[in-house]
Amino acid sequence: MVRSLIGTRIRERRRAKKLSQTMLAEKAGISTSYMNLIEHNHRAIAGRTLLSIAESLEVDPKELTEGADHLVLTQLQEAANLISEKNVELNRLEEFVGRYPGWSKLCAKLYENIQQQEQRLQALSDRLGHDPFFSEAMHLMLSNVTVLHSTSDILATTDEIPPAQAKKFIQNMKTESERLSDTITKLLSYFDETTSTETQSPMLAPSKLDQFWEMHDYHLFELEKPELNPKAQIKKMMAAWNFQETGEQRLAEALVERYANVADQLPLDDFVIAAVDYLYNPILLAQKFNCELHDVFFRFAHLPSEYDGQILPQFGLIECDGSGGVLFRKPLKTLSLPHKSSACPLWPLYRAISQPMQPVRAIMETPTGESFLTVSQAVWSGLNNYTVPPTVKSAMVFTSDYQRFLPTHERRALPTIKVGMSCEICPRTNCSARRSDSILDS
Amino acid sequence: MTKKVLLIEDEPHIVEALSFLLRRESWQVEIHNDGIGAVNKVSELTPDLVILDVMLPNIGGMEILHDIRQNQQTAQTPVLMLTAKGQQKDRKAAEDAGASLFMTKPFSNQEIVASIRELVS
Repeated sequence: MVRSLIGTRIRERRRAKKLSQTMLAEKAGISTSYMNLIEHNHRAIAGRTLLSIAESLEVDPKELTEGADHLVLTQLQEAANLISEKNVELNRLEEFVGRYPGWSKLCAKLYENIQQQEQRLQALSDRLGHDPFFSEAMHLMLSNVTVLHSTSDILATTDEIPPAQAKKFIQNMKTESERLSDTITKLLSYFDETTSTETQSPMLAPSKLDQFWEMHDYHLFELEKPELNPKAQIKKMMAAWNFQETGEQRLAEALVERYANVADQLPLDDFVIAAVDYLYNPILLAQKFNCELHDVFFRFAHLPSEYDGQILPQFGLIECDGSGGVLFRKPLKTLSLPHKSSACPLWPLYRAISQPMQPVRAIMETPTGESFLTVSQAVWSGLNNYTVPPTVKSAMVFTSDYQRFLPTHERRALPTIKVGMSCEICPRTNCSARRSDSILDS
Repeated sequence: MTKKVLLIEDEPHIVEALSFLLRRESWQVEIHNDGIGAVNKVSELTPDLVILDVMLPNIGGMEILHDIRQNQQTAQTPVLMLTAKGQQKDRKAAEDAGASLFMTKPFSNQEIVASIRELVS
């Protein structure tokens, strides 16, 4: 599709270098008429001719081929589809990118910025929907208002109320008014603090790697089919995403390679059928596919939302090292996850660290009343080494969709652990694991 | 015959206002303020109506509702769910679990009394 652009790009770069067509043809060792055909996209070029033209123009051959502009093209195409502007000349998109590389990159960049702002807004919106402090405060305020509304109505519409009862009602209203005022003050102060200190937090400004996973909805269909050559697909993905930091690039590559290995070992078709048969029991699935439990967790977290017309349960995943530092995270809309550490110490993820290799299954209940089936396991890493002590890596897979597959009797046999997100915003005041005061405390 | 209403709610001032409204209608009001023991209370009292808060200490209202519906003795008892969460998914979850009616806080006194009248009639 993009091959036709090469000629246009050659022409633009030649003009930028103030070379005539003849001069460039001479430098590249081809005839002027052939160069004319190439520049007007009437001849496809590759190999030696492409290399010599690129060399003559002092550009990387990739700049003249589709790879260099692929991301820009994709972004502009997405922008046009998103905005549905009828007057956009989509059939001339390639020509636009080829002729005006600077302008097209600018448009693509603007589109990328808009996407980032939308993600940021979405993160803020999700946060309002699932922030435990906000949820608790709303619940308190609605209770306060309910008492005020109902009691004042009784006082206003009932002719004869025993004086002691009327006095009690007035006292209740006074108490609830004070509580309401107190909750509102705390809420405002909470938002003030979060606005000043957390607007740039990783939770609200996702890294490029987070964006990569979110954009793919944590499912890389390109890596699900061996015939598509996973290695080539990985290379293509990395080039398209162009991760800036070396560390992030390495991490992204390692994760995507891990994805490809897991997809190879646990093929999607077989895995989904087995998962349904085994009621999403990760231990049975690990036995069936002769793999590690962590691989099954990883597979759960990267299932598509729909498969063969069937809506699949959604799983989140968090992996950490022995110090609690987060190595991988896939949050769910109903459960945010920390980027580094400082989650609630009661999470089964951390309990698993104290008993490596032993899987831990539990229901985890958040202060907002959401409950999740969790399965965790910690494994040893770096064994068989005399000089360096082994380390532990723990993983917890979780889902709120467990009622679809977990039999009621099994659910009831599981312990329910009441957890929070972090101590600062946790309303569970009497928690034995508390390490700092909650701003919800009166 | 006097109708019996079991109010399962942990906010004392809401309990006080609702009890007053219900007694003003000459209904008998029984109160339970914890998730624990709520289902037993329903079995024991066999009320004409249960008013059940969703957010309760220890065991949530949705789980209690589920247990009420699973118990043959209480399965048919009308249950009015009260919650501060008024989202469509909460409403749907309550309906799926077998709630007779779902009302959000803050409620109107006239509306809740009219709804209770309808449910116990």
